[in-house]
Amino acid sequence: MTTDVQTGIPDLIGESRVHRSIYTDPAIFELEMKRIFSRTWVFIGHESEVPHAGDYKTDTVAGQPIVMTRDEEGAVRVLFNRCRHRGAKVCNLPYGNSSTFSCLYHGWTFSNKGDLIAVPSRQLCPANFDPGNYPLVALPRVESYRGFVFGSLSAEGTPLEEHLGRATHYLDCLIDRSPEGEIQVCKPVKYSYPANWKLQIENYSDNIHARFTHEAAFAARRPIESGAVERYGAGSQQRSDLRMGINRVLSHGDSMTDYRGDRPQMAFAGRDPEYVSIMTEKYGAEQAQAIADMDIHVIIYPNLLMHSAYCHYRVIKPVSVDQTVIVGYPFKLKGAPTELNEAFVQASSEHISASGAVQVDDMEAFARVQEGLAVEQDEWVSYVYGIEEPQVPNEYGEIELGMMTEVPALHQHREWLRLMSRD
Amino acid sequence: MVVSRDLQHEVEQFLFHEAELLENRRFEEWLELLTRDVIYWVPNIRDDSDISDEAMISYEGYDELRARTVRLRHPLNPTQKPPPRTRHFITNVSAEAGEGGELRVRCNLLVYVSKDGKVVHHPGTSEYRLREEDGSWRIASKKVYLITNDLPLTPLPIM
Repeated sequence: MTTDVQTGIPDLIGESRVHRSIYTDPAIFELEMKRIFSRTWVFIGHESEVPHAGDYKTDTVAGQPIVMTRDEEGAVRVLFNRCRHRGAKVCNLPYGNSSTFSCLYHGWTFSNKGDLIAVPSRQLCPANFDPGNYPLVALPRVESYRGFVFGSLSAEGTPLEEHLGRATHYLDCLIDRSPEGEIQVCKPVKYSYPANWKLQIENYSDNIHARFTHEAAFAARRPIESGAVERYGAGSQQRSDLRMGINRVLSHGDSMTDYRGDRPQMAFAGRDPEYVSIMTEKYGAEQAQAIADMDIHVIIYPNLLMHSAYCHYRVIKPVSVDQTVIVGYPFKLKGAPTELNEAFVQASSEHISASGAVQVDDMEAFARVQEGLAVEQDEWVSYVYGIEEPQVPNEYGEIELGMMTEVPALHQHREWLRLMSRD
Repeated sequence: MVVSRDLQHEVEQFLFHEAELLENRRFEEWLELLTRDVIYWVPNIRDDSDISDEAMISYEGYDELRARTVRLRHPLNPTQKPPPRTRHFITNVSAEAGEGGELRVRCNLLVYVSKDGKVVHHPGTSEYRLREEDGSWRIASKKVYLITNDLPLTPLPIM
């Protein structure tokens, strides 16, 4: 297919198939950066990464350098990391604390609110030079939901909470596992794989692949994340058929999976009596146990994947059409027992590390898919599982589905099409 | 305190032997080099990262490492079809007496991994505590400080 990218987009997404070029065509990737990652709400970071005035972290959005800071008044800001003079990045460490950023090139100095507060050799500038015209550029829109900071590179659009819709409920579920209703995000691990970014977000709602892709990880004795197993026991025997859980499709490509006891080995928090007792005081025994046992995946399209059992989230960072970086952040539940929080950090880092047991299998699958999609004679990627299941919204507007389904991925592609179809 | 020339030689031979076992996928024999309370640690982002508070690239004890070798041998492990080929280059070996008769050993490490038609390299420094058990040196801890530990990594072999 010759891609007239601009006009051909609607033809790429079918009812139950998508065209290979959405994973392989560099021109489509460039358009995704403009129409998806530079337009819709994308997850930037968590406020607990910059807890004190002056704290910052640097990152990228749609491949563009940003700095997330907490200013002296305590407000979290997201600024483009680009000197207004000649364009150098003004902040060049991954994390730190500073009330100002000085450009290494000609010394222009900005406050962490972005104001230009010092210009060396000012007498050489034009008489009407006004530093007020040169603040660091802020992201056009930045909003946060209970500490989760999202940004949009588009000045126009739906407010964050309205856009998230029902996904806020599941963010609440994850955050409210903390006895204090707050999480503390830890420093992340990063890995990269040689394939398209959408393979990771599709994979996160795919519960069919596990028995094939992760068979070796499940088969090894004390297969995964066994530090937590040592401390909390393995629970009942891990099921291999994953049939008790459900999926729910939300709006805008978002979805969640509720494993509902399918993975007792992973959902170890419910076996920490101290944690359950703290939660019981707040919620009563039955609800506390349910919260502690909670084992859900939440996908907030296009770049945030959350995991309740191991308390981590992963941020998808597309690098090129066939290269993706994943940044995995463990998080702690404020007010939960120290030992439990440490077990979360250890389990999640083993799970999502490039040296771990599970994610490396998926990376292998993504690489093989990317290689296979080079076949031009076979143009379509097919989705077959669960697609005839009725899709009737419930009272919350969610479409509830069985465990083994490819329908959430199809909804991601529909959101992709919606975003990509607009100029 | 610097160790004797003989002991220095013995330590170097031990490290070369370990590398050879890993390169040749003799994982079960490699496990025999470990003490039961071994810690294998690959810190993340910075060398002195805090296990209680930061994600780790690796933090594994004997049981986890044994499970890892089971996975590496499993016929359905997709990451081992074909298995990556590795070479471990070890230089700058220094050894000194540690606590309780242990040796503290440092060396520079460069691991090449060939997979999918690409070769990636992982440069760093290893820090060992070696303990004598049943007349042989065993690894009581191995910390691998990668100079790339702040970058996105591709799958790491046992280093």
